[in-house]
Amino acid sequence: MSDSHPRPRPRPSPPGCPLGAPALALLAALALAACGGRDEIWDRVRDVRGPLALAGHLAWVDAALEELVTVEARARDGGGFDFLVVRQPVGRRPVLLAASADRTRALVVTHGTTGGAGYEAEEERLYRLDPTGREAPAVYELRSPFDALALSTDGRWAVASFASDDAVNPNELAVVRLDQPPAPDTNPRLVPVRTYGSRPLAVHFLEDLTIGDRDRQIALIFSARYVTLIDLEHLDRRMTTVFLSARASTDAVVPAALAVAPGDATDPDGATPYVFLRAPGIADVFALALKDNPDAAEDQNDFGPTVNEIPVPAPPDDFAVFDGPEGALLLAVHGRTPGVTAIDPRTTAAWDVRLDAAATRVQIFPDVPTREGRRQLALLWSPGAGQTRAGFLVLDDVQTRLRRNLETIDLGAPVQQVLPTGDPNRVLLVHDAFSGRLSILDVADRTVEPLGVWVGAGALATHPEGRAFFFATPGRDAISELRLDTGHAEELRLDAAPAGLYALPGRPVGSTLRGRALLVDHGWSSGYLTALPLDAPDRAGARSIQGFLAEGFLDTDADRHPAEEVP
Amino acid sequence: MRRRLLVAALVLASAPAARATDVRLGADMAWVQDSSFDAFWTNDLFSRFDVCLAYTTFASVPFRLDAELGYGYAGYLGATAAFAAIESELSVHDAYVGLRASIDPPGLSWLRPYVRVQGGATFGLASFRDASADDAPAYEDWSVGGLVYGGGGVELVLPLGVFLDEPPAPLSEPMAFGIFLEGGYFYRSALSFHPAIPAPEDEDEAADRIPVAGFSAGDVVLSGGELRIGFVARL
Repeated sequence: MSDSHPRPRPRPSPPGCPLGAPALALLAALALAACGGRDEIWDRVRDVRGPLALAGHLAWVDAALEELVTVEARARDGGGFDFLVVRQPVGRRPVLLAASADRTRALVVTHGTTGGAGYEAEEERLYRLDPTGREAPAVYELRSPFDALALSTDGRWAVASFASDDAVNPNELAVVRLDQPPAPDTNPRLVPVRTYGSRPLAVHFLEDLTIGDRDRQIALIFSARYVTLIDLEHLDRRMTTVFLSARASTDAVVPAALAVAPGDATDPDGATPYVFLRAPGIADVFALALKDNPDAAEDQNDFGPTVNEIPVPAPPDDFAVFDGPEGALLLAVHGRTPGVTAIDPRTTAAWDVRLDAAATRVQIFPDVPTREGRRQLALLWSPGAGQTRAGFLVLDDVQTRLRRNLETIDLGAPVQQVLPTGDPNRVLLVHDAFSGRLSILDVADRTVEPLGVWVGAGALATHPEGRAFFFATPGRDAISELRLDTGHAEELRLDAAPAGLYALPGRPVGSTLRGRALLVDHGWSSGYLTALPLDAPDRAGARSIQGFLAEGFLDTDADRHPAEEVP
Repeated sequence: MRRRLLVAALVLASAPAARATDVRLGADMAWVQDSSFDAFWTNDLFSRFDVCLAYTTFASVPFRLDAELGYGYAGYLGATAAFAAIESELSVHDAYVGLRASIDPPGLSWLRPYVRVQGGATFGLASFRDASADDAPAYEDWSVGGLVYGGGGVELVLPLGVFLDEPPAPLSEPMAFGIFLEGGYFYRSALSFHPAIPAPEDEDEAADRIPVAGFSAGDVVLSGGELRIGFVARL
């Protein structure tokens, strides 16, 4: 090689060019800029409440995304189902999901946020949502972080209260009229319950209770040692407190349950209903007579309670009201004796009946055919292991015949639950959880018919019209249907094991019932449902949907959840 | 003077330049800021492997126009969406054609600035696994979208001829090796996924299954500013 040869091109600079360092710096800068850019929402812990059975939907609250998720299985004309999944935003930090009384609306309580970290301040709210998403939700400003919700059976009233111990003022309630639109300061209405050393423990409704000649809408608030009566239609009036033990007493009378005996509307003095209360460990029944008081001052309640403390042989475990010759009577069952006590609240007269087998539950059957005609009958039983016998007590003349009205039979196995069927005089006995056996108890004949169906700790649902029961055994990819009209049991194979069964009656739309289906929840966190025809479930008509709880999760609006929310 | 310059320019423009075939292996890093990408990765850096063949379709000193054909792949993307308890995985395949215009600055044969545009299709294959159910199979779906890329950069090459006083013809210009560095913007149309659990392979078993409706997972957007670095071999 010679230097004289022309070089084809000038020699380049060495490859270690000066652009290398800036390039690496640029790369590093890009990598740094890109790292740590994941939006906060993707690391939020999953928090899904539900499912909640509505009339024609199953509903969940996705608390992480602050949305209500509903699924409707809509029957096709030619068989099978289409699924409609709707997601609706709710307020910040949802804590509670409930159904309206007619189960056509979902209710969600949210705790809001004080703002900051990219959020605007938001009050605590109660949302009333149409599960189809077609109606705009009604949003009631609760203004306090209530975490319990009591609903009247007529669907008109809701009372929000505090269940947890960390409330600033646990004696505050919010009264909501769900049949009226929200209004500032009046709907909801915040009501402080007068306190005598306790706090509201439970809220009950005495809606449409006739006192005198007028129906009242009353909330009954349980507290330790007293109960409070609130006239929901006159929240400006003084609420009435009824003490169940002397204020200086050290006995902790904590009301646990109530039973209501309506008054006689034909009484010339007006109806006087009775509210019965019982408290654990207290061998008394408290009978509150609610009497009309038309002469009350404007700011006072126009009804007044009087309380009778009626002793019974042992603390009652359960009670129920039945019809006596002079008006409603109470039957209290006390397992410690064992026995029952029939009580006339008007005279405080009591009749004790000793039982052959200890019982802690009572269920009244008001119209049972017997040889002597139609009678009222009480089924007396005790849940749990060890007790296989149950008593039947004819109530119509129990004051005179006492134990002669009692019949005791062996149910064959301990009973966990007694569930109604479509026939008012037949009930389903769910025996102990270990065996999972089921039986049908015919109250009229006093016969027990064991079924060849075992549920163990599995799921169970009742046909809305009581025609059948549906069972699922854990770990089996199948459900069983027991038809109550024929007693025939049929097993239906599925593609995955059920975790929950929901027999939805459907919501009326014109002449049809939308969403009427037997829904099987397979328990996947992403959502897995199988819909079956409710009235004649079969595999050919079944359809499934998977992943609906993750519907649209890639499109999650990260800007709506910029950071962890400030309580 | 003007006349001389004009003549010189015409001579340069008409002068034949060597045609070349390039092979490029690149590592591409896009900064994807769309939130949907967070479902598949824990930061905004979308890295990709890319191989590209280019052939000179027009060359006139100092300009050159190359036609490109390439393939890009990203197959390691996976993350958990905690709020949905979904473990997501995504692999992306890009196929594209492009044009690259470059210039060979006189006296700087080791440096070649260029701009390029590319267009093609993106194929995304996603799987979503329910984190709560151990035995649950994954939901799967694929989606196809379009892609457009535009950017510019420089090649830093070492022409093999520089090592030899008189290179033999096979090693003469344009054979060279080097690296490239470029920046640009990568637009991909959204990939939409409607995943479902695959039916069993056995036909009888598949026919026996209860018909299942899947769900719409939504769209993933993989557009963003991109930095590319890699090796180039010019033959």
